[in-house]
Amino acid sequence: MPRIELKNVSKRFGKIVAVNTTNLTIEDGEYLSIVGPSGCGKTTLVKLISGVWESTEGQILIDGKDIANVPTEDRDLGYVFQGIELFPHMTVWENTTYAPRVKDWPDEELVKTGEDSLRLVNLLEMRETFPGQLSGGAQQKTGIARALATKAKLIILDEPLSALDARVRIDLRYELRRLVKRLGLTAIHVTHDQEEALSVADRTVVMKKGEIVEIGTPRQLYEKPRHIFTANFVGEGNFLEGSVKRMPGKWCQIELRNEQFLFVPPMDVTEGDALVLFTRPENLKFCKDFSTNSVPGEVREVQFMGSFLRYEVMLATDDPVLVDLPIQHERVYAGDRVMVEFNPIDTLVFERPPEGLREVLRLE
Amino acid sequence: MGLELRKISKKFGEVVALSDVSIRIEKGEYLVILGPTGAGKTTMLRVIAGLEELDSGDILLDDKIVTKADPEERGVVYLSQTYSLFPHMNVLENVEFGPKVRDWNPANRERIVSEMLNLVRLQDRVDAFPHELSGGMKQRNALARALSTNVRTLLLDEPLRALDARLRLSLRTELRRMSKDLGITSLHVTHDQEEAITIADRIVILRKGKIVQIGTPAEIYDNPVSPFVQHFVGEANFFCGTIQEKNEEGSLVKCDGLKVSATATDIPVGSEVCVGVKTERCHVTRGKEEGLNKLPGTLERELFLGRLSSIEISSEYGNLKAKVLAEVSATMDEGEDVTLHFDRDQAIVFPIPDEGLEKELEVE
Repeated sequence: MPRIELKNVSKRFGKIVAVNTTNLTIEDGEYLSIVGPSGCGKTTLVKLISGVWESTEGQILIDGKDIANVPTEDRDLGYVFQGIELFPHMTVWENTTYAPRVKDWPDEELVKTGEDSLRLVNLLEMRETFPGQLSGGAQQKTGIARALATKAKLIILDEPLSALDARVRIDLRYELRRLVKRLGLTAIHVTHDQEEALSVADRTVVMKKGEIVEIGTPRQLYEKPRHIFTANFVGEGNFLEGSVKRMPGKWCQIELRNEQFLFVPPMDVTEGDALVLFTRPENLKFCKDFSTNSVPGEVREVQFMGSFLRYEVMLATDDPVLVDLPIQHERVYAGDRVMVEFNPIDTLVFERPPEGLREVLRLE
Repeated sequence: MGLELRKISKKFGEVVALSDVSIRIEKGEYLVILGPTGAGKTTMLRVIAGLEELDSGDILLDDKIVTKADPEERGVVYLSQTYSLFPHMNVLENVEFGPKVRDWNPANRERIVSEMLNLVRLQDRVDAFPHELSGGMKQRNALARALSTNVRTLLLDEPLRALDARLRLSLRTELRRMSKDLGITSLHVTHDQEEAITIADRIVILRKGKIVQIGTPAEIYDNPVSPFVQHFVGEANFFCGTIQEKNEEGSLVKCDGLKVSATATDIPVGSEVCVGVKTERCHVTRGKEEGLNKLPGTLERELFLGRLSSIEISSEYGNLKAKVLAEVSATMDEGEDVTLHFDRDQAIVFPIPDEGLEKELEVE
């Protein structure tokens, strides 16, 4: 049963630090996703686990055993990666049963495993088809079946859906989670797509510049991120710079630009501290009353988003914010003056980052 | 009229890429062409650009027939998925290239080049070479280069595909803004329905070389002409049955032990139909309830997506899906009894598709 531990693992390519002193434990049966922008080290990290690369420092343990000297083929893992390369001259069946054949499994076991794997991805009927005749989604499913047919208990998915159309990707991510859970596998799924990372996983790791920023359940990371980078990366949000004005007991009053004020729950800060307030667009509302926890602004644009409307509002603080509201509410139009209400419970507070807010929020 | 396609068709050998496509696009419009792989989206852009010859039909730019005109004469620029930048030229040189070969006077040239660099926010990176730029910057550099030749029509072929998912969210509205600021007509091809809804003035749904529907994002989303459109732009649940009664306000469809109250329809009583309901327009409550448009079942899985959660429910009417606010799904557990509800206005009646519902809904 695979439980994977990374202890102070680093990987350097020359002077470039791809992964920096990383510690991570993946429990048996867990579906873990790793997300981060291009170049954050997420793919390198799983290549260290799979044995494609050797770590420069640190230890990787699978079930307590150091795997430093275990070659890739003996690590007992299935691997699926972006734009999976199937053997073009082999049928779906031959591709799927490749590992069992190479490992010389008895016929009966080979056939059963191959059939089981293809049945799981709904491709058993396509067993005699060649990859060139398959859609992108079906090719990727064949790749998944091939990984399952190794009977490995650990499956590594490196951008398994990135080459596919948006819609196919959404359908397949459901399938992936279902399969992994049904078979009781441990899965590590690397993606640059924050929504995919949240939707498939039990826990998600957010990486940046070779380091783990934060680990948590998808809900924790989205609703209560502990780091400002996570808040911005796993979904859209509003960030307002301010400083602590005073703390009259129950609430903490924050002064924003242009003499605007908001209240947030009390916390461990002192007057004058520089902060960043953060809310998700769906946690903001319009209100009519000046007395509530609100900031005035002007609607710049209204966007239809399918199940909701998105308002771009320029606040009196010179901060642009997004406000997502259900379609049914009273319509507001571009140019309208509004009061934007901040619910103190959903408003998170971060220390103002020393490198500046813009730098932390940069996505490229 | 900015651009008009009159009954254009194009085949590659036996494969029909475009079949009798007609559309009129206003000057300054941002039109998104949405469809699955193989719909003919790229071909549509390439024939407009003059990179492919038409089999039949006409293309009009500013009310002039350009069907046989050379690509350079059309005043149109086609931006492919791979950004065509000269690798040995820096940001500035790439943007200057067009005006230089056209031999514009230096003052004019300088003005437009600096305008374009400001527009794409690369004014601080003029000395950088393509390999030193991030994917998003390369894309913006290519865009500035394309726009610096004073084109009036921009053809964007999956302009965001190569970028990280989170960055795509930020850049998609930028693209629209730039196009609108310059007053140019843009045709933007994508397979991503969310991207389409967010930025389009109008969306064209293309499938197998044919236009299925043209409309504003709200029309496409709320008044789909077919189950395919309803399911492709957002997901939908479908119920097949027979119309039992109807009047001006609505209809009653009997589906295998289930009665669905649906929107009004021209289809006669007694006909077989399918009724589709968008998953984002379904509600889920705890406990089992019976009644019209109430489907009791068991919550199988929740996938957390951020603002929303996707919920899968197994019921005697099949597997159902709903997308609900994550704060609602937080109160429910997997394995629990729940009920899926929807309003009559959300349940749209369609004739049974010619090739059956399953074929109709295929996305690849």
